[in-house]
Amino acid sequence: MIEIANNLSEVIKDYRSDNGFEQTSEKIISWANQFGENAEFVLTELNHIIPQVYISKAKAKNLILSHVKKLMGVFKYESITRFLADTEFLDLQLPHKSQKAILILLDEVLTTEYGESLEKYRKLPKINFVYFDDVLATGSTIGKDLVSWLSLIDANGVQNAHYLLTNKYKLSANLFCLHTWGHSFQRFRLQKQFEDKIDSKIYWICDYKVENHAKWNNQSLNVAFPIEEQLPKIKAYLANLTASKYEDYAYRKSHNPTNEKFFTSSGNRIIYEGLLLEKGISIIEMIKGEIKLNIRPLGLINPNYKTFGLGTHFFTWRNIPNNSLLVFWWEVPGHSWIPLFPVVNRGT
Amino acid sequence: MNINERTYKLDEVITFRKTTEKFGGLSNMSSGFSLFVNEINIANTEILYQACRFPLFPSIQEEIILKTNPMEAKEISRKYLDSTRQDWDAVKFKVMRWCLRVKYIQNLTAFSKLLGETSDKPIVEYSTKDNIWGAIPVKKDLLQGRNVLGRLLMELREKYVFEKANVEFVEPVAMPAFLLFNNPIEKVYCSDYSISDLDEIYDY
Repeated sequence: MIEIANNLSEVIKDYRSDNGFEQTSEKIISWANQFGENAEFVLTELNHIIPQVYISKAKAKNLILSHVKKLMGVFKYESITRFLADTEFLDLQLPHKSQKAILILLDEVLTTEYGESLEKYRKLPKINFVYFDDVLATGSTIGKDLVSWLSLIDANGVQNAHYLLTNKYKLSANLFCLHTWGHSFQRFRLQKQFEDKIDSKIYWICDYKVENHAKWNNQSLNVAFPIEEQLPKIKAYLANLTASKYEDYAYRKSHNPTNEKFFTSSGNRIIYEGLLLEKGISIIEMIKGEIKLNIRPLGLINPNYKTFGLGTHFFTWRNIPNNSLLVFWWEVPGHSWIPLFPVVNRGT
Repeated sequence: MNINERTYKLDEVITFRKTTEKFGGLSNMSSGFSLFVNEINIANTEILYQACRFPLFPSIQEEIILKTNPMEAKEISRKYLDSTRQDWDAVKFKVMRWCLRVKYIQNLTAFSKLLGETSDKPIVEYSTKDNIWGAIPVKKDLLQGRNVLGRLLMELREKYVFEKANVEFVEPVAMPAFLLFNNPIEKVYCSDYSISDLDEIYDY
C-alpha cells in the first residue's frame, strides 16, 4: 500500500502547498485506513483515477496558456498585443474563489510566455470578455455570474446581452472541467433569461468533461454514480430525503457506461461507489443537530434533488469542489474523519 | 387520428409559412422556443419531433439533437428514413400534439401570446406541396388540405388559451418505446421548474 500511496502523493503533492499544507504518503494511508479492510482497494482505484483528474499548479499554467491560444483563434487574433488590448478577463467572483487564483496564474503565464501583463491593457475599451473558472459542476456559480454580467447596462442604457446578441461583443466561458448535466441546465437558464440565440454566442472551452448527464447518449459517467443494487441502509437514506426532484438520476443503469475507462474495471467501480457512498452516509450520521438540506454523501447538491450528490472526482492544486464526495473533504472537529483533501471554510 | 381534408378561405384565416412572418412563431421551424426534455437542450420543436422518429437509434437522435437548424435536422432525418419507428404513421400526429404542448409549456408567455393573437380564426400552415400538415392553394383565395398542424395548434389554443386550462406538466405520449437516448421520455415541466431553484445549492 505504501507504493500506491507514494504514487498518489507524487501526483497530488502540491495540493494547497501554497497554504502550507503538506501532502504525504502517511497522510494518504491514514485517510485510506478509514476504509478498514478495503483501504488498499480504495487507494488502488484512486491511484487510477486521480492522475486523470488532478490539476497541479504547473498543469494549470499549461492549460491557461492553451486557453489563451484557443481564444486568440476563436476571437481571430494573430497578435497577443491586440488580443489583450481588446479582451477583458472577467473578475466577478469573491477574492477567495478560484477565478481570482486563475487570473493571477494567467498574468504569470502572460509574463513568462509573452512578456505581457493584464494591467498594461486594463483601461482600454474591450470587445471580448472571458470568464475563467476551475469547475462547472451544477453550474450555479458561472450561471449566476453570467446572468449578472449579461444583465449589466452601460451608460447608453444598453445591456451587455444586447451587445453580445448583436455581435458587438464576444464572450467565452473557460473551464478546466465541465459537467455535462449542470451545463445543460445553465444553457437552458441563459436561453430563457435572455434569448435562445445567446446559446450560440457563448464559446464554451473546457479541458476535461465530466459526462454525468445520465439521460444523454453514451455518457462515460466519470463520476461516482451508484447502481440501484445497494445496501438497505443506503436505499433508506435516499427514500428518507425530503427532496422530490430528479430521483431518476439517483442511480445509474448497471450497463452504463458501456465501456469503463475511468475506474479500473466495471466490477471495481461498483465496489468503490458502494464503499464511498456508505462512508459518506456514515459521515452525515455524525452530524449533530440540523443537517443542511444540500448535504449528500457524494457531495453538495441542490436541496430539492433526490440524489446522492454529483460524485465529482476533480481536484486542483488549491481546492476541491464541494460537489465532490464527502469522504474527500469532510473535516469537522469532533467527527472522527480525516479528509484526503482538507479545505477551508466548509463542513458543519 | 382521423382528420379529414378541409377548405379554407385565405382572407378568413391566419396563415403561417415563413418563420419571419408575423405568425412565423407558430411554425415548428421557428427559433426562440427552445425546449428542455429529459434535461436535454433541444433548439426547437421540429428537432424534437424528428428525434422522436428514431427511438431505437440513439446515435441518430444525437445527430439530430445536436443541430440547432431545423432544416439541417430534417435532412439528417431523411438520411435515416429506413430507421423510422414502424408505427410512425399511426403515432406521428399524437407525437406532434405532444411536441406542441411541450413548446407551449416551456415558452408559456411568448407562445400563449402568439396563439392569443390569432383570435378565434382558423390557423392554417400555408404550404405549396404539403396538404397533410398544412393546406395548399387550390384557387387564388382558397387553401385546401388536412392542415393537421394548424388544427393541433387550434386545439392547443382552445384548451390552454381560451379555456385557460392549468398546465403544470405535459405527460409523455402513451405509447411503447417513447424514448430519448434509450430513456423513457418523462413528464415535461415549465421552464421555471428546472431553472428557479438552480442557485439554492449555496443558500446553506
